[in-house]
Amino acid sequence: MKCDSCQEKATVFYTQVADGKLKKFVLCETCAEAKGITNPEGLLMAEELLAPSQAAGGLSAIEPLESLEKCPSCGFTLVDLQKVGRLGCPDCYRAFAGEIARRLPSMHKGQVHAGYMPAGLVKQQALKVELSDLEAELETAINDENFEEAAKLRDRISELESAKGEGVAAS
Amino acid sequence: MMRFSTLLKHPADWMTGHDEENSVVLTSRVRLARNIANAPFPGWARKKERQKVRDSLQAELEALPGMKTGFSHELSDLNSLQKQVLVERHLISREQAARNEGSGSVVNRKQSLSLMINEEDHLRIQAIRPSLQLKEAYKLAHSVDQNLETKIEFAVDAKLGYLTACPTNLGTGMRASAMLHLPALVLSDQITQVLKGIGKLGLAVRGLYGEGTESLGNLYQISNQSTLGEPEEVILERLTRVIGDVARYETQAREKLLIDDPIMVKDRIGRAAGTLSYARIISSKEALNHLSMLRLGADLEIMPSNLVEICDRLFMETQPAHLQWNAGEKLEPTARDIMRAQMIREQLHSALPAAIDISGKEN
Repeated sequence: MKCDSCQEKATVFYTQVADGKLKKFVLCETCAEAKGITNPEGLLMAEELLAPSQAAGGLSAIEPLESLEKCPSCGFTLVDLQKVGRLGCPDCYRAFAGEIARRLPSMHKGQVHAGYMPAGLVKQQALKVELSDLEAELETAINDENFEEAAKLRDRISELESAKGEGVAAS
Repeated sequence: MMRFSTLLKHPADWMTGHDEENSVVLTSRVRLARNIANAPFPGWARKKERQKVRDSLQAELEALPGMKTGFSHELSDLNSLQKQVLVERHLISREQAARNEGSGSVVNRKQSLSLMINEEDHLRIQAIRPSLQLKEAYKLAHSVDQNLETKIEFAVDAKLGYLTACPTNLGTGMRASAMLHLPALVLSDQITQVLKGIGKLGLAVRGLYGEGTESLGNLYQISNQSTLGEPEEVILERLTRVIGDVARYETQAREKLLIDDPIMVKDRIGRAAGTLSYARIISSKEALNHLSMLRLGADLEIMPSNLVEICDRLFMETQPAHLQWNAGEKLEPTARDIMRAQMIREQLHSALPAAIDISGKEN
């Protein structure tokens, strides 16, 4: 067997669980040492060996996810999901986020949507981002005792918030 | 609205017309899975909830451009034979045919656009085009999607994209597939290798009627498996490239067979023509396999070229439900096999070279 890194004879076999998936590497002694596999910090090497998209795209890196026993919206249970592999309603994706996150890597090339989204929703998302930015600016302004600026920001925020409210009501 | 019988009198626009483009790739299909926000998925919804979804969708779908002259029915209004005909035409799925109340089908006159209500998801938008035209099929489905999203709030998540009943469809909700006719790769024993390669690329290969169906008539469907993590264009681009490659392998295999083993190829084609021209009882499976050889013969110009279109039409019309619908009654399997043989003989009669040359001089 050849080293994954340099084609020399491999003598070190390394297994790591990342994103719920088993990753196996074989390395020669020199490469294993160079990559620091013999000390605990060597765990980071998985990042190095994996394709960048795989290493960065794992759901576990985005947020810690748990699963409820039952979807509060539709009553579908985690046991149902485990039995049939399907969901009860759109809200189940939030209720069983942990279980879904475990299943996605074996189904899809990535774990974050990168395709088309309805125009209205994209606008809502942009609004959310702008609001959180403005809130951060407001906090800075208040800390700096720049009250004139803070008042302007507050007006803009309430403007956006009412727009967001209308957007939700209209959809 | 068009009646069921009228729908069937019109062949689908992707079934007719043929050019060099479709000698390997017969059709391209793209379907988008969409669900209404805040409503349980069809498989978990109560009958009343399904009915509510259907009522809210049906009117919007019938109002789409081109649908006024289309076909729209609740599946419970159709008998099992009619539903089976729609399955054979790929206008509804096998899964949907098993559903009844609250499930509906809306199809445009050209049958290029088929909308399924309360299949596994609330709505599936499907577009079919002839030959390798996945991007065009997507464009068609996408235009319907964009039209509908101004009136219907679809279930979406900023991270996960479109939310679907099964997580295997999450994200884009897009399944794109093409139907390929690969007789030369089968004859030259290269098919297993090619299919394995496709599998390694993360694409799926299936038989004539989708998941779990065997390959008949050397027909294979290639589709994407992953729907999340990449834009639609990237998925379509990869599929188009791979399917184009497979089509080229098939073309090369055809050319090679003609050089390496012309007698074998012509023998297979000739036997198929003979059987189809003279058989009195023929099963659907046997018919498909011989029609496949005959179409190959036409593609290779060993047989008259107008046979391509006739074979493609017969691929569909010799299927059990189409056959019984044309006969106007339910038929027992043997009666079907007799009827099928008769239909094939009649259709081939005008197209095939009249007499059998038994002089033995020609290969």
